[in-house]
Amino acid sequence: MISLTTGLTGVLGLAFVVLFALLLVVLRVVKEPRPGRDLRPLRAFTHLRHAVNLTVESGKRLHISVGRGEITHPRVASAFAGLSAAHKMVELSAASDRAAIVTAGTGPLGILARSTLHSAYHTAGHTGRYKAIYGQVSGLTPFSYAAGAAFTAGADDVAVNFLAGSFGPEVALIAENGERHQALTVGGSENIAAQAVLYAAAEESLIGEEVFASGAYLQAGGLHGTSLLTQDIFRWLLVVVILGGALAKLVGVLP
Amino acid sequence: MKAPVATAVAMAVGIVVLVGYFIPLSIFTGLRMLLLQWAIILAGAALFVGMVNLSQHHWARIRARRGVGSAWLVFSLWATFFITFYFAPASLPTRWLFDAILLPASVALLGVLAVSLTVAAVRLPRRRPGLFTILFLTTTVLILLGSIGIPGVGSLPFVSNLLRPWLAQVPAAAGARGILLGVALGTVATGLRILLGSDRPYSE
Amino acid sequence: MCGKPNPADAEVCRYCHARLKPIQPGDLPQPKPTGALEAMLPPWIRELRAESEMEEETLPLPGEKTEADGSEGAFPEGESASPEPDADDPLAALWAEEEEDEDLPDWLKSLGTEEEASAVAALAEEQAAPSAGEPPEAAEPKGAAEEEESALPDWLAGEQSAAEAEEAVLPDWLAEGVVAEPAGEPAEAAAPKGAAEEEENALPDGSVGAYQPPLVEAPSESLSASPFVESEELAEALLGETPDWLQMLAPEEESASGEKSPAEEEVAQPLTEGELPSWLEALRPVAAATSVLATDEEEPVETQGPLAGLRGVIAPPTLTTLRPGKVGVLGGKLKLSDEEERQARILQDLIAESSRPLPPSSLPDKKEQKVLRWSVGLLMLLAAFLPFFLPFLRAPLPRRVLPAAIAAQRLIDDVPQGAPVLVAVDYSPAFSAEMEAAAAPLVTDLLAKHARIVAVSTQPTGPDLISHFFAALGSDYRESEHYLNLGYLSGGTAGLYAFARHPRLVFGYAAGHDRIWNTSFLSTIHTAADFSLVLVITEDPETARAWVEQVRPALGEHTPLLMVISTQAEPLVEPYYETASQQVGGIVTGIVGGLAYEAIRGRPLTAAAQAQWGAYSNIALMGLMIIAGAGLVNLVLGWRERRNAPTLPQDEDLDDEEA
Repeated sequence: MISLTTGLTGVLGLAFVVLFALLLVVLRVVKEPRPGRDLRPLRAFTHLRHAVNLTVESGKRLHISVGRGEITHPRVASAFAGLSAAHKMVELSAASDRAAIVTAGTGPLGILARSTLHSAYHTAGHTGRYKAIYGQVSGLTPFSYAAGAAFTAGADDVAVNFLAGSFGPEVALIAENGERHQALTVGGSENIAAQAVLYAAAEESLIGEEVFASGAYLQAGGLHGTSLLTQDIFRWLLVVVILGGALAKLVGVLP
Repeated sequence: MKAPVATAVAMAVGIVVLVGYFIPLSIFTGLRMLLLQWAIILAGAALFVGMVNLSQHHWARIRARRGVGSAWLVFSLWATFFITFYFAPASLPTRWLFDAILLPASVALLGVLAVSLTVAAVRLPRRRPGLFTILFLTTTVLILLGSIGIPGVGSLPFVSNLLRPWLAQVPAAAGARGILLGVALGTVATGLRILLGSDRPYSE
Repeated sequence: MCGKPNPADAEVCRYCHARLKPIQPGDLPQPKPTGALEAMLPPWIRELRAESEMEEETLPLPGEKTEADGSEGAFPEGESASPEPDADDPLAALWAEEEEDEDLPDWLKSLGTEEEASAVAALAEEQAAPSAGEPPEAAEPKGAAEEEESALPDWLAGEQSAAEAEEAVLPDWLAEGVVAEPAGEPAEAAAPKGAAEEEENALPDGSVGAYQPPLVEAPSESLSASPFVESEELAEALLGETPDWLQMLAPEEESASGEKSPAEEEVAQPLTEGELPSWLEALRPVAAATSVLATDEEEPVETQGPLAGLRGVIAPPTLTTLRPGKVGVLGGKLKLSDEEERQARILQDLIAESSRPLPPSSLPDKKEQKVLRWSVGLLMLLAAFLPFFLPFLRAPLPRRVLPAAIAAQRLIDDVPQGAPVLVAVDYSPAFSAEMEAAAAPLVTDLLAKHARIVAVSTQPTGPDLISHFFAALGSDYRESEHYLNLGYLSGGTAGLYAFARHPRLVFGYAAGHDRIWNTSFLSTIHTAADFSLVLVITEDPETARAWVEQVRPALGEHTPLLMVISTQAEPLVEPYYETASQQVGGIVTGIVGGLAYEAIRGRPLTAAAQAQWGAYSNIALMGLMIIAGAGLVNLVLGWRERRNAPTLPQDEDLDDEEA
């Protein structure tokens, strides 16, 4: 037997998700926000785009790391955001002399990284240049992953490290090794400890949910732009609900 | 649309699990449990896939004759796998591997991380001199000061009893909650993009 | 034609490419294999040819490769043979974007064609950016000419001119190519098609293809390498023939080989008064039109070179090939649709972005960083080991009262003797020192109560981690006797959710046991709520959150959730204890929490715990001193560097410009 509270909570939760999805679709029809015009400028992405261009020109390599989020854990969402960005970046740099490398810390993410790379090369019209080895699992425990990814990040031919996914504080090892070898490091994570670490260790850090905006800022297409707009709308909604709830509690309306 | 079958399966499974989470009717929860069991088995198998992937990468390096370390890695990886497979997890040989190799290596890397973070914190004001950097570093120093005992002095009364707990539990926790709300929205958005078939990292 | 000296056996003038030996009656043209010369054709001819071939066969499909792509040899090892669009060509990238938009489900795709168009332009903006430069060390055996050719493609060149000169004229063919093209139509075909249509319009019916402009014999690479190649194509498309000055630009190889080019020779030769150089002559549209008219009336007489005096030796362009009158309508105001304006703006942004210098990099000096890293490491090691030799450097133990630790102690006390307890050893091996120190007192108390401890972990290294944890508590505690090691629980949150509700479905087996559910540890367990206590030991706030969100709801009111966490997780996990609902019944945080728990119990601290606290305190103290001291110095240096930095555009400026 389902209790009333459980049922009500479930319905409310489902309504939230359905409303989010509807708004996502509606906004897609009405307006597609674009960076620089509808999206506020983010220095990290501005630098990243510059650096990607320069990387291609200088014949160097991109390194994208999507973390070690378990595929069955919500934290993998940031890795998906990283993979979307990776798709776009690899697509842009597909003609570069040196192929982009994507590292991951779990088996499924390794598979998805390869799939994303293949798709990006295909989109760019360079399917023949894709090699499965460009998508790598660098380690299966947090620190072994960090050590492996740090090795790639510090390679001489890597000019840009883009770290977007689920990390722990060990991400500092990757960021630091990249910077030690004069590579630009841009990092973001859904993990707060990793964000704090990246703020100090990376040249550019993505704070909070900015990592989820990478697809929109890199113009990965699809629903990235509109999902950002939808998030903003819901954020305001949450602010109103939180303030309203706190006020109601203060005046004694809520028990 | 590319890979329509994969997309359809992904969307259907995602929607069933989502609905099963919110509406605890037996038809949904039963199906959800079944799918979750599959996910658990697949996630376990994915570890093995990860091992294969890792080996592939390093095997390529070995073949290119530039990976003595890679050779060691592949050897260690599969030796550990077969030892654990043969003797069972938590047996004496695997315990030895864990205690003598994995644990010290991980702890050593954590030690290196402490140095790396300190160096990064030192470099931060030179890289980004500004108000937020000062705030960041001041908070770091205060939290550290409140967490330790100073030789000859002990814990600093005001800092350790009042300031540190307040910093950790009020501004830090509030900020973290705010960030988590944003992250949750981002997670929902990412999940929905996949459910709607817009993002398909599984599709080539 | 040009009057320059040529070798006696030359059939064609090496400078102006005019035929030197007249074709005699009976000299039937012999078919020759010209496949090798295909690559030497100017790109626009190849595009025209490809298009006409395509028109003959069928309309091109998106992404279909044409001969005009000319990507042969661009990729090594058979990649050239792949029937894919040339990614160096942004037009091909448009196709790619088209494919990417195919990523959207059909129902979503049909909702916003305008958005798709903007996405195409956005991709073009970014696709063009990387190709704008020339890789200095091209590892690919790709022709330099092709790379430069890709640097500014046809349609971009057209857009550039439109964007740079606001009063400029957009030729009809270009306008058609851009405006009339629907969002989903292949843009690759648009530009050449537009050019072809213009030529078609300029010609009377049925005369398409009657006039073949003179082939430039210079290798296509050198032609393509010219930065004016796009202008040349534009002029050719408009005028229908290649002016002399453009032809003279072509044979650069000769200049490189030491020989003077015709243009150079022309410059070297003194001009007589009133005589215009040929390139200037060619710029006179009226004269050109007049000469064309004149050719219509009579067979032309060659006036220069070895053919001087001969009539009708070289077939001139007939009247039908050129339209008399004005050469193209170049006046009027530029009419651009919103989409075109947007694309032009994108191009402007692209050009501005690519030419804009990046702010000075703040990446550190390698040597300096090495010294800093080693110094910090050595100082920390010193801080950790000195207290062992200098007792006065040992930090006094903390005397703090932690309410969350008191709550934890009460929960442990509430566990009945011999009750089943679930312990999640869920931390990364790297944090084992801190987590073991914090959790050991609690688990020791549980063992003292003969609790039936079932240990599980969502870490792949969990089984060994559990063994290590209990081994560290003391050699008296053995697996299967004092605790049951269930091992690794895979599946992340899904695994946790399933385990909390149906543990028997998730775990049918544990290492070293045949029937785990018949053992004394688990015989009474059907859901997680059957445990008397759930104790989670983790350093990761996300793991802690997963236990709270996935397992806590299944525990019910009688099974409390207790946590031992690392200091780094405190701000995120504490609220679960602080709130009224108390989803977490008690928390022990880090080494300090463990010491506080021991203090509550009134137990004396071991020497190892004291040493650990001393080392921890001293390393942290050294760290904060380094951060405060060196950080302050670096802050001053950073400010000074920023003040003295050259006035290159800063990050904010970049953002503003982008906005």
